[in-house]
Amino acid sequence: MSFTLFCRFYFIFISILAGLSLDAVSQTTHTVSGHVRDALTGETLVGASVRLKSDPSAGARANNYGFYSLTLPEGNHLLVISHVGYTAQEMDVSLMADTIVDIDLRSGALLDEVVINQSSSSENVRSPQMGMTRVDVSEIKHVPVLMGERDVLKTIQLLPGVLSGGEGSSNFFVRGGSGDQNLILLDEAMVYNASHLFGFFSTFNSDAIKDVNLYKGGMPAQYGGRLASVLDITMLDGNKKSLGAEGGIGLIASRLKVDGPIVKDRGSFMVSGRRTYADLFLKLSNDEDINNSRLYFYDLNAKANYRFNERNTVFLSGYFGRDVLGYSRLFGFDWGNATGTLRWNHVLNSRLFSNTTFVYSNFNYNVNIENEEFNFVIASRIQNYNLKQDFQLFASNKSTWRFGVNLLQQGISPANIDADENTAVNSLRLEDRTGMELAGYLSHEWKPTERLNLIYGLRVNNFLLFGPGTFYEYDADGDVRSSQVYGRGEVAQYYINLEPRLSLSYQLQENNSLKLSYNHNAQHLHQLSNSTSSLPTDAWVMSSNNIKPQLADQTALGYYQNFGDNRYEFSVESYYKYMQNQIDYRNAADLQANEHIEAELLYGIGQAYGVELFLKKRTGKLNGWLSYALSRSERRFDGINGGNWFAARQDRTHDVSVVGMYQLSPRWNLSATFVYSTGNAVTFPSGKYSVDGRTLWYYTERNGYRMPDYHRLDLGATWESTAFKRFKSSWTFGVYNAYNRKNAYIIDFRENEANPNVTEAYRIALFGIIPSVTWNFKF
Amino acid sequence: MRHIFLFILLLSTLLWSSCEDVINVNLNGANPQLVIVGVVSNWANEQQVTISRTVAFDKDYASEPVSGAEVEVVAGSGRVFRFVEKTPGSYVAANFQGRQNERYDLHVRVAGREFTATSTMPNLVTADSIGTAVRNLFGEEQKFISIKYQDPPEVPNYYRYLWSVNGRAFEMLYVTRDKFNDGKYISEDLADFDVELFSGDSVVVQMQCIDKAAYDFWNAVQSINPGTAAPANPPSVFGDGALGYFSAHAMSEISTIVQ
Repeated sequence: MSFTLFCRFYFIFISILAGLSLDAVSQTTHTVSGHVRDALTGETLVGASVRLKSDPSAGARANNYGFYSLTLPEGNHLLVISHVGYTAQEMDVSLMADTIVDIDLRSGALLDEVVINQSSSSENVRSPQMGMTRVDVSEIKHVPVLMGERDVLKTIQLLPGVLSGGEGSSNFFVRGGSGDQNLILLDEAMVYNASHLFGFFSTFNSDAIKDVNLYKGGMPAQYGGRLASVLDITMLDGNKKSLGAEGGIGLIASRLKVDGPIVKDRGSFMVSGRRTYADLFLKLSNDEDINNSRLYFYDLNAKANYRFNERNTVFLSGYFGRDVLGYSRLFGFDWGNATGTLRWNHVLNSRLFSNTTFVYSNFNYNVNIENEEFNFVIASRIQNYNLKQDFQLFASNKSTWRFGVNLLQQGISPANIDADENTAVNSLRLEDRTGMELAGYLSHEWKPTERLNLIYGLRVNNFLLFGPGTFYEYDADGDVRSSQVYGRGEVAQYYINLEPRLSLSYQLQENNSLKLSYNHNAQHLHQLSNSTSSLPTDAWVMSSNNIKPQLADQTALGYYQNFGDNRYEFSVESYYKYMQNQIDYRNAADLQANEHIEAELLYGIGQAYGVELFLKKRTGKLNGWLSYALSRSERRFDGINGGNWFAARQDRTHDVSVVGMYQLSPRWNLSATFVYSTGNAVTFPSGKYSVDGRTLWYYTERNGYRMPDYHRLDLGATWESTAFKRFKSSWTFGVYNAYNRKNAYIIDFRENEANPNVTEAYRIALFGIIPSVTWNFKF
Repeated sequence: MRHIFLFILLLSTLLWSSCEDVINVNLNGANPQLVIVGVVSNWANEQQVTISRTVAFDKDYASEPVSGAEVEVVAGSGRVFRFVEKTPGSYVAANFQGRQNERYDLHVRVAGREFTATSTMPNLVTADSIGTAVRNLFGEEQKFISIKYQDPPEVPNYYRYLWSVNGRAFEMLYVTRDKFNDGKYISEDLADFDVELFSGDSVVVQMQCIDKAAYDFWNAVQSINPGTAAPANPPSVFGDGALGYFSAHAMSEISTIVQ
């Protein structure tokens, strides 16, 4: 049934496409198209700019696969091709017919004082896309981090509007949203749990990453499924020219990446791995229980691509990562993600680019308990299959269309217990749930006038929740009111959402612009957690007869300005976001292995608003950025806090990040990061009482208190050793929390040991000053 | 699930150089709230209801007794037991022994307001053995008291465990339910992180079979840990006007000397 629906969608789009193609051919123009690549490695350059020298406003940006297409009048043109971190290049084309030109750019080190082409470096001002930041992976190389583990997710927390999930955490919150409202994509595959070791390290090994784009608002219509943000991460394709390796040995983990051509200039591969080795120290113990214990995580990224001809390229990429903990044979706990992406880039004609993607993504965890009385396994899994067809039509150099369809099948197996016959625990099976999201989108990037640039679009999303299973209805107290059984393939619930998107820029002068955006997003997958940290055992649920899709409407207004010959960029953005069908929990909700988990949920609304300032120095010996956000995030639920608005836990009034990197000499690079933020909103007791000899806390207000302010300084230094033939190596030194600030991780209350009638508050600080050292090599 | 979180806790202590210190937190005062705790037990011949008010966090006493309340319990049989205030805030009914399967209604009239609650005493489940269990955790031997009992199948059961070590006052350990082990022969390891057991210690264990409301109350209390996103008051059978619970429970005692 769904397949026929899919086909219908597909043909509608094909017809639209045909119509548009005809429309655009009306004068003697020709198209120059091709790929923009790194001259040394052959890596395609995402977002590179191709423009007319005579009219910099006429141009195109290379898409996610480095493909560009520019339609110009017949004749001779001088093109300027540029990309951040690369030397701009000029190129003569004589357009008598449609032409394919692949462009190779040479990377220019920051020190070389490259005069980056004006049109490229003011891209941030001119681009209609708002609320978007591209993180340059080479730029974050020097940012100091915890234990010396470079981490994309921790670096984006230094941007305005992105808050850290807590001390040392790779979890993040965007514009007042919750952690599960971020869509995290790795080569288009959804990553369910993007962290290792309970959040302290992200699953993204920086060695394997080419490009990172974060959308905080005004998301283009090709993205959907989450309210707060899209983090789109692209893996490196691998060096097409020569075989190479790089790696590092750090305090807690070692990494190795190998990449090279499969067939020179046609295909390449990249394999990158990382593993921690804290468990190796356990092996030193004489205690059998300890040296049989397990404590590690690893990541494996692999990618291969092959270009059959100028029109067809195939990519296969995968990620596999796992955390493994275990104590002797008594206890085992492991969890991880696996993703696989198969893509086919097809250039239908010089102006129409097609990408077909098939994605598989999985997250699961297992717990094993084995002792004299217990012998059981708890297992849970969430997975999806995603088939996507995206088209990009470069209709003219003022107009680009994107459209496509997306069929996502999602399955959830909640925590099940498998117990031995003779053990003191019963087996427990909860029903699996299957859902499907069928989405289509159309988006138009258009430049109607010299100054106005806009992207507008619409995403249509149809969510279907299927049987088999029993679906319950609950009354206000969370008791079962009725139930309904659906068979396999029967639709238990469906929702249709129309998600309009708009983002525009109005250029005031050459180097400043006003931007405006609006987006409506719907979310059908929800992570349930009533603890302060995100755990691998958190339950996932889909929208259902009880759970309505989470909805968000966000409007943002901003001002962008570059100055100092584009060496500095500045932006200020303000936003207001209204959220519906937000989820909270009944008091002492039972979220584990509970058939009636939906009865434990409460639904309410939320709002978030704020102002974000960003000032960046892009080039020179000293570069870095300053970011500040003033924001508020609130929720309102019947039955919580007397139905009054309360601050969301991640509401932090002020959030400041300062990042500085200084090239002291060709050998030495120094860096420093300073962060300051208001403490989280938190619930503390406002009184106490005694029950049966125990002192209990009396709470009066949800999140009515504040944790102390958080601030921290990290320092880093990198020393490059002399290259020996192709072999280069460097040492990275870091100090986390340089002035040993005792930031409160937890504030809790207890009876005084000496006098139980007296109660006291105590603070737990997680990380004091932590030095780190990493040795990196490359050849 | 408790095993997992215990493990995570141990792990984080091992891994990170966390540090702990006592600090001063400025907490608001709140309007005092009424707290009613009523118990009907099969174990005693005298039942007690305590009524108090919450106090500010920085007070050096844990609650303020409330005197002058009218308290009575109506048993399913129709008998009415009137409670008399013995010490401030403590109301007692003598010659009143609770019975399994009987329903009890508590009525409290205090400061012009009336509160009611109902509890039915569950059937008694008794432990048939008690002993010392030794576990090796990260190279350190730890002693537990292990009790064993047969959980009745097909009915939800809720248990509350208390112990007294070397004649000290009884302390509550925790509550459990048979959600994951209904009808099984259950072995429960009892331990308190603050109390280390030594060979020769005498331990008396009280095992109470409680109803769902009492379980919900204590479970809410024990499920609040430093990682709870939104700690809140445990659900009250008295509604918004008063905190507390009313529990008719069937209990038994079993004792041992630590090996």
